[in-house]
Amino acid sequence: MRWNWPFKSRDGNHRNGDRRNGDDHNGRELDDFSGDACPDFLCVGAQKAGTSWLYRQLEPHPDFWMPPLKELHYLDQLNRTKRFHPPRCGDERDTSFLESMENLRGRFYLDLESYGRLFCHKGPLLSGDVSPAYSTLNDEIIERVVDRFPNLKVIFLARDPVERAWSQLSMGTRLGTISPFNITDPEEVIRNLLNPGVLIRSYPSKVVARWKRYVRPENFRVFFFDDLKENPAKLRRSILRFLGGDPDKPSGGLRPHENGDAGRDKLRLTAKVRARIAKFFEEELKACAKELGGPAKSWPARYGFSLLLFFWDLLDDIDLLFWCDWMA
Amino acid sequence: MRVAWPLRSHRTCKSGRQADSFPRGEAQPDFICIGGQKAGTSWLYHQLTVHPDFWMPPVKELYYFDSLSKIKRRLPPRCKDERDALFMEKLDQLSARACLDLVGYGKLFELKGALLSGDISPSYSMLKDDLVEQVITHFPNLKVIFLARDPVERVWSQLSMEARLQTIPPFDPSDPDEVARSLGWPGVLLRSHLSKIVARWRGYLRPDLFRVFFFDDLERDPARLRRCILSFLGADPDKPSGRLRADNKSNVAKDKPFLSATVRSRIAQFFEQELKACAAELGGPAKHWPARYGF
Repeated sequence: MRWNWPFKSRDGNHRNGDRRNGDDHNGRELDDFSGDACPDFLCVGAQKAGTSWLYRQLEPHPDFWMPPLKELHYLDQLNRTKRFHPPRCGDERDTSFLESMENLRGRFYLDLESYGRLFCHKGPLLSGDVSPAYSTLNDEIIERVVDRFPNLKVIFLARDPVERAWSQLSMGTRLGTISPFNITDPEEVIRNLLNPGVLIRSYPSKVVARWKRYVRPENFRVFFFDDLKENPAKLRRSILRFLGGDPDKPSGGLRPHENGDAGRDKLRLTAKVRARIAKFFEEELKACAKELGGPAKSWPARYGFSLLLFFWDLLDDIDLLFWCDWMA
Repeated sequence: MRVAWPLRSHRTCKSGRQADSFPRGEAQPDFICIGGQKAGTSWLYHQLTVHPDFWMPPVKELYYFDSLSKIKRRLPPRCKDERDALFMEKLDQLSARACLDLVGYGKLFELKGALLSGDISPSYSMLKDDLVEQVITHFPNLKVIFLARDPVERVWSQLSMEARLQTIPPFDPSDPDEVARSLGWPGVLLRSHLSKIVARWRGYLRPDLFRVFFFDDLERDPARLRRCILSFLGADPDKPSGRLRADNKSNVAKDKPFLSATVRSRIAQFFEQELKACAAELGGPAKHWPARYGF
């Protein structure tokens, strides 16, 4: 069996939108969609940290054309995922996007050129891929992606690991991907945290460090779920500004505080279990406070780890004093 | 549904076998070999299996940390004695659970008794930081071995194997572009960046517990490589591995398509940065890898 390279005009030198027109795999002229053949941004998670809210805010925003489904899962699974929701099918662009995606799914290799060309449908608007599973990508793939799309902006929505993990367990139980368990037994809860699917999504400090190694600082930004709860309008403005959208334009009739997922059933979290999960994530909570800053600085204190953090910071200061002493 | 803590009832197995009939060792592996795939890990397993200082599991690759052992095995496990059967029973029980149970995994190795034992799973080279940290925190004295091989040669060997086993679609091995596309298969990409794999594991391991060995040495002087690995693992390198010679490489004869100079050069171009990174990060024979391709 021989593979046919799907895009004849490929020369491997096009980077972030220096080619605007071409033929798609069906021979259909794409002149109507004169967009840069690449995503403008990725949102790499975190799962259960407001990514659906973000997709819903961007979808009707006049500066964006978002793909007809929120999570493309291309970079982690080459689109081969079971989907819980049918994709939007509003116009020819949506249909064409889904067709191209289906075509891409048939290949076994990571074809970043064709992945980029999925986004030709955006025209002059902004577009991106909101796939929380990208938080689990290894360095090897991240490097390839960033090398291929060097101007790509990357967003990470961070959430307190204790709350995030509980929300994931609640969702997993609701969807049947996690077997029901005794939610009042701390050790049983910990065993469920050791589900690899939960574990690899629970260390935001590592996720951020991985992406920061490859994405230029001005192209990478961490936002916080805490801000989504406290002031969604402000968070929306910050994200839109970072992505190059106009924060003053409304997202259709959708208001910033509208979050369809917020009301979903969540398992009851007892104080004892909460304390046990916090203990499990103690080091990570401290790492987040140090590495992510912002609202994450107050995460350890929620679980009574503030004193340790204080000493930890103090030690850092002492190091600094020694260093000053030595320099003098 | 309540999930019962699985290991409490392990003393009696399904078949009624008494696990206590075996001398029990520490509930942990002494070492793991995390790859690289196609870099001599089968040779290593064969050498250790018959060495008198080791009791190796009846399957070479446990795939526990990456897949919770939920994989389809191509080769049947060794089933020489009751210990082998018991190990496989315990592994199946462990694999039936959805969660990473490092206590249960460690207990698999009690069967080694007073000998050394380990898990040779090249797929561990793809583990993410989070899991590497969990494993190392749980087994702080674990030794870790990585067998490194020139990425160009390694990937050609992998592609040949995958095509033979039909895990990737057949490709034209004389067409450089087609071969380059195959390199974009995530299963290939994730196993090909040795410098990153080594950096990931080094970040969590004490330097005295982690060692990189080279496939180059397996080709050049397998007896010496065997000695170095055995010494590192704490075994006696002077004891023979049964009648198995150090230069026995049962995998070598497998069909490999011809690698033309054009295709070789195209693959090398694909890995140029990685070849240079290996020279800088791994040292040893890797220092000569870039020069092989004119870099």
